This record gives sequence, structure tokens and C-alpha cells, in this order.
Amino acid sequence: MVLNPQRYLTQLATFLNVPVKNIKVNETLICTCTVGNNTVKGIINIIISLLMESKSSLWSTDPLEKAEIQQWLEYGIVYAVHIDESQNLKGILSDLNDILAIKTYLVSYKLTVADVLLYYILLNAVASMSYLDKQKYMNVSRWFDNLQQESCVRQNNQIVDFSTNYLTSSTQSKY
Amino acid sequence: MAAGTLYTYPDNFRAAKALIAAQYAKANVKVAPNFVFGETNKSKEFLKKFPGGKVPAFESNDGKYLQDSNAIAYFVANEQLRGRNEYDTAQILQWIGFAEGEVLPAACAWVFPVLGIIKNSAGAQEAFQRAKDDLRVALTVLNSHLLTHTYLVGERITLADIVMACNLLNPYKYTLEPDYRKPFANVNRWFTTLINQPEVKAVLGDVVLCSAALSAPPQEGKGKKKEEKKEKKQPQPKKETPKKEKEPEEELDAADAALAAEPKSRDPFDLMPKGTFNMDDFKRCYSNEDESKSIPYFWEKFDPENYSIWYGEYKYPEELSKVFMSCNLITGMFQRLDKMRKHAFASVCLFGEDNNSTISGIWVWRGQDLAFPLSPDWQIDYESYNWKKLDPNTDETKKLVGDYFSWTGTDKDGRKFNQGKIFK
Repeated sequence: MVLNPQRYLTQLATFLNVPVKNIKVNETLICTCTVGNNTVKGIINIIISLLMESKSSLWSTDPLEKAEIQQWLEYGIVYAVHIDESQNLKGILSDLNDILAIKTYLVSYKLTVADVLLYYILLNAVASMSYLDKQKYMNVSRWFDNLQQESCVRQNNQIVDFSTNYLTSSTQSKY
Repeated sequence: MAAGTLYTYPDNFRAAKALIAAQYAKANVKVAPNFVFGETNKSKEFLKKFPGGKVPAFESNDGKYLQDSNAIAYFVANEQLRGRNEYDTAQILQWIGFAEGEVLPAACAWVFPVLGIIKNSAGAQEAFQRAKDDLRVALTVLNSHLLTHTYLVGERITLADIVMACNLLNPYKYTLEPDYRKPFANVNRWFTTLINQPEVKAVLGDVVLCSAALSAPPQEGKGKKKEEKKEKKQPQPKKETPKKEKEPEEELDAADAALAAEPKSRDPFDLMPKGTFNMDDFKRCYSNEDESKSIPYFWEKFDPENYSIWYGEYKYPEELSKVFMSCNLITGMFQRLDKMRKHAFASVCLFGEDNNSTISGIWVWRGQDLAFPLSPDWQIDYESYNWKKLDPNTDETKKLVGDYFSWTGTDKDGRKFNQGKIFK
């Protein structure tokens, strides 16, 4: 099973405040949709045209950062979308956990579209994680918790509870 | 929104808190121009407004006065930085208390002796070690908090983060070497995230994390009288140089070892006539006696037939920035010239201050020609210097030698003596 791009693309478009129509996946698995007046093909192209349309700060002006963001978008739609298959879950989480051990956000030192897209893709998987796993992939949990506190990122999604994690840390207060 | 003037000396990590908070709140806070530390803040006018006479101090455009960096930062901040509710604000105060009470004293006790801001006194070693341990305890607490929290309070950057990061700024820049900070991965992540925020960068510029810890000047050795006197002049006594002497030898790789084994390259000075000047005796005299004795001793024993005096000046003074980096340049050169030590002596001095300094020195060695071409080991640094042979019979030379050996005087543009290093 692969996650249907329709859901996370719609959420991303809502977050960016850009109207999209007609998100379709054809029989050769090519995704198309209408952004503004144009029909755009391919998920990464769609995301980038959404960003252009919204003039969002989630994109970057720095070429290196742009490349890194695209790399993460690709990781998101090629690997992370398979997270609903249990044999992939562990690999994806531990990849992310290692990277987030030394980073607050995936790219650079600020929130970018890479973080937001991954949040939408991982949403269901993280919500159904056991407390033990949340603790095991603590860096992912911390990153995810930081994202979901931003109400415009979270939208109507449920807040995932990480409170038991905090029992293990020396300071027990949450927020 | 708060607008006003901040009184501070440049590069003050306390003032940075207020300036960063102002960046976030887009508050119009200007740094008072022409502030002279020790003068402006001791003036009657200043003390009238700020009885403590301490900086940073803040004067708002509508005539409100504040002292203490954290209070000023709170005043010029916005709602996000102050906390969105009472509980957030209380937690921010809690972390500010931690930053001031647990982190800062240890940080200062460690960093100040290293930077030479306070003198390394008899009890300092113990205090130094205690500071290292105390800071480790504080960082452990921070580290476990930041494992589960992206920022200190409420998942957003707040005053707590700004104050904590500023209090940790100097340790991260000067003393938290990679090995020491390795266990604190979460603190490192949080700190690098903060210093790379545009609002923080606008105040602090690019912060480079410490790559090798600077150590505080050691505090022992014989010739006590000399030692004490030197200590006042420079934070890093010359005893440090011999200590490091052994390092390059250990690092010899196979090729160097083979070179060293060749009898020819053992000591190029051996081929020259010995002369009457006994280098070891002079060095002993210089180390143990006052310059008022050792300089006349030098002229009495100096053998112009077989020894020569040289003036060496660093060619690229415009590239010199921080004083401690320039000092490392000098001691590094001394280390690479290790094998020359036996038959050479030098006093190399740094004049001026950060970003406006020169390096020059007086060298004495066996032989009449430039010694560096004699061995491939000695050729790394010398081309960065202009070399001038001095005539030992002129009064000019006598004065130069006197100035450099006793670490007095100025460079040719009048910059004041800052630090000296002795090659012996």
C-alpha cells in the first residue's frame, strides 16, 4: 500500500492557503492537479508550484537549501509514503531519528516545507505508535511534537500525545 | 513597543540578550555610540540614571531606565518571547534563573581565566576544575530537557532560550571542545539552531564553535619572581612553550623519522664554530634574573663573530584578528622550530589589540646568515616574515634588543605591547 497523495497534498495546500482542484492519480501512477489556472504533473512539481503560488517562507532562496528540501520531498514521496507497511516503519523512523538527533528541523535551522510534508505523511503512523516506540524514536517524537504545536500546521488533525515520554526526562513538566 | 538606547561595550554577551529580543520584537533599540567602558558608565550623568553604574543599561525614548540584561530583554521583547500564558512566563523565569544561577557562574569561572580576563591565581586550578564539573552538571540537566523539547519552553523560541544561549556563548566559542560537548547532543542541536536564527545572527554574527579548548595558563615553575612579573604582562606565561615541546616529536611519521635518522640533518648548527657565547647560560640568566641584569649580561657575553641578531616582522598584520589566535601563530612557529632551540633565542611580541595588531621579534642564533634555510623543518613559517640583520654595535640595536627582551615599548606605528613569547 502506498499513501494516497490526495490527502497530504490537500492538507499542504490548505496550510499554504492555495486552492487546488482535481488531484488525480492516473493508471500509470502519475499525479496531476490544478494549481491556479495551470495543470501540474508530478507530486514534487505540484508541491513546488504550491510554494510559488503562496510565496511561502517554507521554501528557500538559497540554492543548496532548495536542493536539500527537494531531496527530502523526494524521500517523503518515495520512501516515507510506504510507512503504512509495517516492515518499512522501523527503517524510516530510525533514519529520521538519527538525522534529527543533531538537527531541530530537517533542512537548515528553520521550518521548511520538508518538515511540513513529512508531518502530513507520517501523521497516521506516528499517531498509532506505541509509547515504547515513541520513546525509542525520541528525536522523531520531539520534532513531531514541535510541528503539531503550530495550529496552522496541525489543522484539524488530532494532537498526538507524547506525555509519557516526559516521565523519563528529568524535568517532568510539559509546556 | 519599547524603543530606546542601550549602553554597553561591544561584544557583550549580556547586551546581546536585549538586542536579540529587540530583533524578534522589531523594537527600535540602538546601541549608544561613543560609549567608553569605565568612563561613560562612571560619569555623574550616567550614575544619576543608573546608580549601579553597570552595563548593559537601557534608557527608553520616553525616559524609562532599566538595568540588568534580562530585565531589559523582557522589556523590549514581544509576547511570543515573554510566554503566551502565566505558566509559560513562569517557566521562562525558571530557566532564566537556571541560566544565571547554575550555568553562568561555572561558565565564567572556566572562560575568564582562559581569556585572561581574570588572573590565574593560586586557588584557580581547583576552581577551574570545579567550574568544569559544575557546567557538566548544568548541561546534563539541559540535555535531558532538550531531548524531549525542541526549545526550553512551549515549543517556541522564548527569552529563556535567548538568555541561556547567550550565557553559553563564550563557553561554546572558547572552551567546550568537541570531546567535552559530545555527550550533550541535544544541547548542541538546540544551540546551533538558535545561533542560526536570522534574528540571533543579526546580533551575534557567525558563531564558530570551539574546535580545541584553550587552556588556562599554567601556574607553576621556578624563578618565582620572574614568573609573577610576567604574569601581569601576559595571560600565557612562557612556561607553556617548553611543555608543548614534546608534541611534534611524537607526531613524526615514517618519512620524518627517516629524515631525522640521517646524521646530516641532526643539527645544522653543529657545523659552525662554537664561539664564546654560551646560549644555555644566557637563557638561564634570562629566566631567573630581572631584565636589568640579564640584558647587560647578554651584551657582555655576546659573541658577534659567531652569532648574529635579527629582526623579524610578520608580513601580513592585516590578517591578524583575535589576540589569542595571533599568539597561537607565534607559539606554533616556535614548536615547528623546535630543533633550532638549542642554538637560538628569540623574544617575539604582539603589539596592539584584536583586529589591529602586528607581530615582530628579535632573534639571536649561531652563524651569520639566516638560519632557516639550513633545515627543511624550519622553513614553514619564516617566509611569512621580513628578516633584517641588525648590527650589534649600534645604539639602535641595543635599544631594540632591550625593548623586546624586557617586553616594553611599541611597534613602529606606536601600537602598545600586548603579549610576548620567548623562544628558548
